[in-house]
Amino acid sequence: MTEQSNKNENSETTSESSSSSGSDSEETTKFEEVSVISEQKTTNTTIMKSEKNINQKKEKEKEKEKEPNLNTFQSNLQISVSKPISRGSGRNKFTSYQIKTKLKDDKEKEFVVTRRYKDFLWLHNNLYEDFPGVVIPILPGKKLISKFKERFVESRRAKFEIFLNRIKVHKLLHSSPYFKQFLEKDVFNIFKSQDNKKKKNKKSNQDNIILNEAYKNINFQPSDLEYIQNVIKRWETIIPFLKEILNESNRFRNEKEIIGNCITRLGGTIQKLKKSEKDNQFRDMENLFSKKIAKIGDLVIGDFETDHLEFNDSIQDHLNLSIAVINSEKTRKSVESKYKIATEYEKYTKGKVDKAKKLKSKSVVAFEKEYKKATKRRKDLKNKTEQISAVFANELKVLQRNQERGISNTFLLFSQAQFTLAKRSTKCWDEIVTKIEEIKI
Amino acid sequence: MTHQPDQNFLDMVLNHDDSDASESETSSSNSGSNSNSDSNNDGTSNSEEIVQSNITTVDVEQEKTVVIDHQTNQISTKKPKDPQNSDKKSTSENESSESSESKTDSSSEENVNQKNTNKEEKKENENKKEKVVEIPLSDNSKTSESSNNENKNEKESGSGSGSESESEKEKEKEKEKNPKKKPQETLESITLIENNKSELKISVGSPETIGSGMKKHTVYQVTTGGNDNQEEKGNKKEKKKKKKSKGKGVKRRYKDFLWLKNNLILKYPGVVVPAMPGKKMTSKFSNEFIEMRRSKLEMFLNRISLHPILSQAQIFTDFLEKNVTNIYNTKVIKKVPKDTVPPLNEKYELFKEKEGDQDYIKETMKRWETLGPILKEIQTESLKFRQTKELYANALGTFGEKIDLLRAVETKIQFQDAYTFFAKKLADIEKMSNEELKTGQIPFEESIDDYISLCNSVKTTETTVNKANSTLKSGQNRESKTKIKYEKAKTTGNKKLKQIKKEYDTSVENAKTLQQQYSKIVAVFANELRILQQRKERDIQQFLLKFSKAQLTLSKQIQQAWGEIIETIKSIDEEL
Repeated sequence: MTEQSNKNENSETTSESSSSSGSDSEETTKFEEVSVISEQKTTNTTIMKSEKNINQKKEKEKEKEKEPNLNTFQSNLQISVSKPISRGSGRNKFTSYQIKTKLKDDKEKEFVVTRRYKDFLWLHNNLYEDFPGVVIPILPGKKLISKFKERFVESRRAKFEIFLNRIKVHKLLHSSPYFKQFLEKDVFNIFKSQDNKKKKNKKSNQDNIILNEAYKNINFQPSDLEYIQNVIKRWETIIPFLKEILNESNRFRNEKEIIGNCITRLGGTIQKLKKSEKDNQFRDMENLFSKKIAKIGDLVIGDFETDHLEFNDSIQDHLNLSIAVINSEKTRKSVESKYKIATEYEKYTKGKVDKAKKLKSKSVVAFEKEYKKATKRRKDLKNKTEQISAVFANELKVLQRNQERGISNTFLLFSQAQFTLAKRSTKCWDEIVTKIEEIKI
Repeated sequence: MTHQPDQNFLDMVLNHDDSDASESETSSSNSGSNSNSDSNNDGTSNSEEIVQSNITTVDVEQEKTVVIDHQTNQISTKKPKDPQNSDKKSTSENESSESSESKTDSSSEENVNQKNTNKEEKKENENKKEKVVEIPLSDNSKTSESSNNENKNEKESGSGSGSESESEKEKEKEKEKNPKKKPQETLESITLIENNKSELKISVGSPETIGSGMKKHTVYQVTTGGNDNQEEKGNKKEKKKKKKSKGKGVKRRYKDFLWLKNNLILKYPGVVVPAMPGKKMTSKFSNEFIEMRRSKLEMFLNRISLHPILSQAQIFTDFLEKNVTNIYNTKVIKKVPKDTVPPLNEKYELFKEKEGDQDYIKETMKRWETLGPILKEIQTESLKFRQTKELYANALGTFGEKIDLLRAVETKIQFQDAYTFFAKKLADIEKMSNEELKTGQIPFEESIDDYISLCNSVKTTETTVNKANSTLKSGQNRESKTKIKYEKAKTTGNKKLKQIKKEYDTSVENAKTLQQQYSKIVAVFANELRILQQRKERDIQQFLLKFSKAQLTLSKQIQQAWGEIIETIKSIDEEL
């Protein structure tokens, strides 16, 4: 693993990387593929279509950009998350997952570790600290109750896998030592490990050695700032909308559940009519009526409940992503404001120097030293701001496209589920009507 | 209760013997029926009984109880349940003797009927009505009567050959069903006849609230229909009828209706009196409530008017025409000596108790009793279902609205349009769902409600039958007691022997009358139940069907809406 990561670093330093939006198709590809695998609901057509789209895009963009992109990276790793096991008891109960990392080249080498949600969170937070401007892939949300249901555990497992794979292909993120540790270190509760490096980094935020190197390869363009400004508003605005959608969706889902129950009960009472019936035709009809109605009730509650929950999850993910974007922007802005302050401070020290020179003061040398320091700091911060902004702009571009496709996919799946539900209900009612009409009195 | 000087034609006719041939046009059918009745007098009793199988055919068409008046060869229909039948046209048979008793022209009924907008099936029923033709009770009169009937039917319904052929079909159906029975037997050849009175379209309208405080109440205008257009039909008899019956309309309040109902129940044991809307102590002045009550009261009156026995009631006529306020104060029941009952209405004479009747009653009542609570459960669930549907539709619509918010953060116009389209479709679904409530859910609930009332009416009727039974028992008791007394007096040579004998004789007489009466009541009730049974199955089928169809339509619409949404999203995907 260390070998591999070194290789990666070297390739990074040697290769030219641009911050253009080209060839982010690979990132897109990975996103699509991963989401296709883990989201078991996609229909064949969607898969084929998305693959078609991906291939088309890939080709388009490969032609466009020869320089590899910041965010895409051909990884030699194969990461899988599996074997969710429930451990502990009572308040200390949790689920652990097995992380298996294989090297494509060296099939012999394999890392197997056991991780839990808190570990993933640890990784996420460290990445967040270390890579300003990068929108860290989102983790599935925390859950305090009912986190042991099969469906929930499975969906979490899938999301963890997506999470790790996204990091894996991210040019900046994959080189994180925390990521390495996460995949390799054979300890439990890695989230507890106190990392001195981390502490150091906290102190002097600007001295992210590794990051800086990688960041240097990114070309900053002034248009990046403009782009960020334009786009960030949309991400801000969408957050309350998504919240409202989520609320309404939940309300909608609740009502559906209630209606499903009502339908079934109504069918049950109508079936009771047969108690006062002599005619067999009628009894049969009433039986069928309640049977079919119960089926509809089940459909509404059972089968298609899942689809609704999937939809809600997707919306929640979009929401979390938007929040992550806004947070990244906050980080970027804080660096930017530091830069602005440094600029001011430089001016100030320059002013002091000039003044001292005029006065032919002895402190000129001291002031000049200060001024030099200030300049250095300003330049440093300028670089950092630009790099972070460049990275962020790129992230935004990729995310924008992914989000569009993601949202349309979310709605498509949801609508397809509703359609199928309506179709099946129609069929049931049709059978009922036919049966009733058949009765001859 | 005395008749008023300006007693209407109906009253006068009511006092007529049923077999009178009143009008020229009806004379042939009347004579036919009269001869029939004469001939039947030899063989069978005058009273008609209804064979269920006969009723099956007919009733299914008409959804009415069929009662045959042998003497008049009339078959009247009673519809305690189905308000849709209130606008049935009378057949020509009705015109025979009862036609003279009707208040309005049959054709006027027809027109008025067509104005009735209460239920959708009304039109269906009207068409069906045209099929109904009185099948003469005897072979002799059959052809003449049926042709008469058909003619009259045509005139009345104005449907020409259609009714003829249909009436023919009816006849054949009837014949098929009862090959065994002799033509003389009256019951097979029953078709539905409208009581002439059914031509009356009674309307209850213009509610006004008068009084204040505790005395505040609502008063309704009760008018019996009868239009000028009817004159154009050119039916002499109808014209005459119209001339004589000029019901202008009276004002009645709820208490008056209640008075009418209660007295009908008292005076006509064994007959299922139509249900009335319930009493209400509070909040009875809201527009919604008044409207609902008004329409139910209207249905109540129209159903009575269609019942062959009830429509002849004096109190019914008085209710409709007597111009007094607070008619509910009128005393109707005359006092009779202990253990006796006032004589039954003459219509009862037409019925004869059959052997299985009492058992049939027992068996059927069991089923009616189980039906009541089941229907109530259905009603409760249905209401919950409706409320849930409303909330669901609303949630769906709001959900769509929120999706539309995403427009603001979209740069691509296809997406924007897609969101709006999505929202619009969901709003459509919401609308369609609410529509369905009106066309499917609410009529369904109303039908159930109506049927629950019917169950109650049937139960009430059973109590009248039971009451007659207990009166009979006590009468018989008295008979045996006085017998003992008399026997004793005979042997002891009591002075008051004559007096005691007289007592005894009266009690014997009385017990005999009670027995006869009870028998008639049983026959009537059994008949009512048979018809209701048939109708119940049909009705249940109908309202379940209607409900299911409404759901089916809605489901299809929803399916289509989602389909369109999917297409839109897919087309965007392709563009991306």
